[in-house]
Amino acid sequence: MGKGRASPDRPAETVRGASAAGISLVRHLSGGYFLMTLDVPVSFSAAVPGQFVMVRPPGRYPLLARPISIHDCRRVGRAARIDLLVREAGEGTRALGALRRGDRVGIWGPLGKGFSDAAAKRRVLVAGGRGIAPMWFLARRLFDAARADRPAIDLFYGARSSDELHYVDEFRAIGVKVHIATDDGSRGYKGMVTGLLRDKLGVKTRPPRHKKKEPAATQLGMFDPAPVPPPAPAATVEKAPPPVFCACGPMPMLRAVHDVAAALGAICEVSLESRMACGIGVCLGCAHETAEGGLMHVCKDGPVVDSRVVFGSGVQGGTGG
Amino acid sequence: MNVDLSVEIGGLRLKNPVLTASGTFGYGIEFADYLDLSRLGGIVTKGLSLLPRRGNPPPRIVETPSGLLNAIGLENVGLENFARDILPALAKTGTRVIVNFFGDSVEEYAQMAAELDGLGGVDALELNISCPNVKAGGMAFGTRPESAAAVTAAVRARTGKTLIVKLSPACDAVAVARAVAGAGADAVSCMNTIPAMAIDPATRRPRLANVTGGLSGPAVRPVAVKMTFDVARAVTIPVVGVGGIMSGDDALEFVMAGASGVEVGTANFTDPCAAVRVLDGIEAYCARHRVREYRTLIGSLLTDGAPTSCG
Repeated sequence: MGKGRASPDRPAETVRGASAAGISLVRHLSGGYFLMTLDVPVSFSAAVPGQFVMVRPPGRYPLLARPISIHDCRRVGRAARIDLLVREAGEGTRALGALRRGDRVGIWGPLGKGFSDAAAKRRVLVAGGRGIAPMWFLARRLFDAARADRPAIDLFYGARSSDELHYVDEFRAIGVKVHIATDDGSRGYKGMVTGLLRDKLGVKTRPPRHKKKEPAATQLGMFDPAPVPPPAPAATVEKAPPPVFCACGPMPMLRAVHDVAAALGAICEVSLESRMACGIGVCLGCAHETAEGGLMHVCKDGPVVDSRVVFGSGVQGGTGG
Repeated sequence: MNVDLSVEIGGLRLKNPVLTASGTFGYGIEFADYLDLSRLGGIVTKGLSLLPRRGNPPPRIVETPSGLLNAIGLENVGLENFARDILPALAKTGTRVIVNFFGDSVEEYAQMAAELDGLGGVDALELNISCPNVKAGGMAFGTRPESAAAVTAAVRARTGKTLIVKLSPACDAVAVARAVAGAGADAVSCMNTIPAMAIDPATRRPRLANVTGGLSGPAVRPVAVKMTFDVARAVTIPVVGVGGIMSGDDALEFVMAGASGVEVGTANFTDPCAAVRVLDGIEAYCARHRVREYRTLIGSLLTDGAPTSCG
C-alpha cells in the first residue's frame, strides 16, 4: 500500500491495501464477455472460490470500482495472478473491457465469503449467464490433486444463447460433467437451466410463486451470522446422501435451485449479486433482505450464503405435483 | 523539509487536517487492513442514533456522472453497541475519534450528546442536521436557522466536547452557519450531500428505492468549495471542508477557500487508501511550495477583487 506505515501492533505484511494491478491479458469472447488476467500481490492467492475483488479502471471514469467474482487464481512465484471472466453489462464493465494488456487497474480483495469447503461426495454446480465465472475456480479447487475427497461434479450451465457459453470444453477436460441449457435452444436443452436441473435430478417443484414475506416487526434487521443448522433430510426418492448445491446466477434461478435442493434435503449455497461502492462493509449500499425480514450486506455476509438465509427453510412451491 | 501539518479545530488539536467523512469510513476499524489509521488527523464515524437503525430498502446506491447518489437511510448499530463493541478498539487507533450523531427530536439529540459526552475515547462530536435521506430528523432541523440553532443549543448544553455542526447545501448555508455559531457550535462542516435523484427511463422508475437520495463525489466539489468560501467569510469559527475530495489538490481548494480541515468521503470507496493519499498530497504540496506550516494556507486564496454575488 505504498506509503502507509504499519501501526505498532500490525505488521506491514498483514496490511492488504489497495494495489495497482497490471493487466497481462484481455481476451474478448463471444456474447459480450471478456477474460482479463491481472498480476496482483501474493496476498490475493489466499482467495477462495466465490470471493470477489473490487476493480476500478484508471482515471476518473467510472467513479466507483465494480465487484467482480474471481474466475481463477494462482500463485506465480512471489506474486499471484487472477482471472476475471466478465460480461459487459453496464458502463463500469464496458470501461474495464476497453482496457488492454499493460494498462493498470485499481484493485482490492479478495473480499467476502466464498463457497464452503464442506466435504461432499457429489457437488451440483448451477450457473446462469455470467454466474459461470466463480464455477471454474470452484471446480478446479474441488478437483485439487491434494484433496483425498475428490467429489463428482455436475455443472448445469444456462445462457440465453450458445454464443454466451464459455469454457465448456475446459470444464469437461478436468472431469466435470456439463449439462447445458439455452433459452433459444441453440445448444443443449431448450429452456431454463433449472428446468434441465429438475428433469435430470427427477425433482418436481412448482415454479416459484413470488410472495413476499413481511419482516417481523420485532426484528431490527441486523444480520445474524450464526450458522443455519443442516436441513432435516426430506423423505424423498434419493437414497444416496444428497449432493451439495452451489449456484450463481439471477435471483429467480437461485430461488429455483434452492427449491430443488430443499426438496432433496440438500445444502445449497448461492452467490448473490448486488451493487456496492466499497466491497468492505462500510458503504452499506449492498443491503439485502433476508428470509426472516432481517438485513444482510452482500459484501461481508456474502456474496455466498446458505440459500435458506435468503429464501427461508421451506420449499416455496411445495414438492407436490 | 519538515512540514508542520497540525491544526486546531474548535479546541480539538489534530496532527494533520485530514479527517474521514461520516458514512464513508464505517466506524473506522474496518479500514485497519487498508491503511495506517494513526496517520489520519481523525476519523468521523458513521452517523449514530440512540437506537440501532435498519436504513432504507435496496437499491440504495447508484453511480451518476462523477458522483455517487445514495439513500442508505442512516443504517447504524446504535450508540450502545458502538460504545460497547467498537469504541474500545477505535480509541486505540492513535487518531482522533469524532462521532457523528443524529436524533429524531431535539430531546433525542440532547440525550445523545449527554451520553457521548460521558464516553472516554470520543474526542469530538459532529452534529448531523443535514441528512437528506430520512423523514424525521436530519435535514428537517438543518435547513432553517431557528431550528438549527435550537438543536445546537440543546446539544451544547449537554456536552463540553468540541462540537462540529454539519451543514446542508439545500438551504441558506450562511444563515444557518451564523445561527449555529451563535448557539455554541465550535466549528461547522461544509457540506453534507446535495438532495438529488436519478431515473431509469427504460423502467420509468427511480434508480433508488427511496426515490431521492444525496449526491456526493467529484460532481459536487465546486458547490462545496463555494459553500466553504461563503461560510468561512461569514463566521469566525473554523470550517471543515467536505465534498468530492479525491486528492491533495482537491483538499487544498477547500483550505484556500477558508477551511481549517477537510473530510475525505466518497474517495474512500474508490480507493480504500484515499484518505492517506490525500494527506500525502497535502504534504507534498507544502514541501513543493516551501510551506513550513500548513496552517498558513487556510483562507490563503488570492483574488483580484471581491467576487460578485453571482456568475
